[in-house]
Amino acid sequence: MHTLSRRAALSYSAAALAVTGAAPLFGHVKPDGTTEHHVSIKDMKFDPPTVELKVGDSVSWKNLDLVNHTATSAKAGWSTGVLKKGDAESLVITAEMAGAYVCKYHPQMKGMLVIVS
Amino acid sequence: MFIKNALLALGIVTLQSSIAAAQTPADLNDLEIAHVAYTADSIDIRYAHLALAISSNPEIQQFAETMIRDHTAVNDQALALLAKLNAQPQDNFLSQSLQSGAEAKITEMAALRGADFDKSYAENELGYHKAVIDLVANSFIPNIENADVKALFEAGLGIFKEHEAHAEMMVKGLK
Repeated sequence: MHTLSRRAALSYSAAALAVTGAAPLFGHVKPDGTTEHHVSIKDMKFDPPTVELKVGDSVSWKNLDLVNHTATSAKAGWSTGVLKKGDAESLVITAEMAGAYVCKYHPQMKGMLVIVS
Repeated sequence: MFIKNALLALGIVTLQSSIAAAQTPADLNDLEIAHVAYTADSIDIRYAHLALAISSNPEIQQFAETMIRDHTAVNDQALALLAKLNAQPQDNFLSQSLQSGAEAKITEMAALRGADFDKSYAENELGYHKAVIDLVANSFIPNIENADVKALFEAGLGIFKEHEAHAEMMVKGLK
């Protein structure tokens, strides 16, 4: 159980972001205590490319590009399915989903889900 | 020099003197640039259909399907923007040259089969995207006047760069 104050948590997250380029470990906290993280797909990139989260959190990917995309991990066996321009898809994250993912159409687009305790 | 190289890579090998005498890509207006872009997208879609018809390599087929999907999306956006602007793309020397270069390339590739076709298609996609990126980044975007048209080309440039990297990976994988 984390007992960091909000200020300490913000400082920690900012430091982590500076070092790793990862998204800070906060987002939209839902009533059940889990957090919804947001990843924009824009200019042929996942933004942020790395999301640190807890098992049970969710990630929402939104496609802001002209072309179709997916967020897909063939290795871990999950995918958002096809996201057309303006589409969004949210997935609840399990431990098995951690690791690298790509757009199945554009393999140069890479993202990462990092599970933290 | 990069524009000349881009034109050569696009298969425009007979126009150097006429380009020098008449126009360069940098002289085109927004509607002529839009026509070139639509033509270039359509040509890559034709290459992709040829690949789907001839190749049995899953990687080539997946790439070709992506080219059809992405270039169709870009062209649809371009047409929607032109309709919004109540404008028509204007045919020009560069569109015509692209078209004739593509006809020759398609004839050449259509005679190939198996690994020979796959190699030719992958290398052509790499060279074609490099050339288009050169034109869009260095000749078109700096000269486009309409902000909406410029924004569309900037979005397209990002897509084409991903395609280039994907094609490069495909070429390496076939060696």
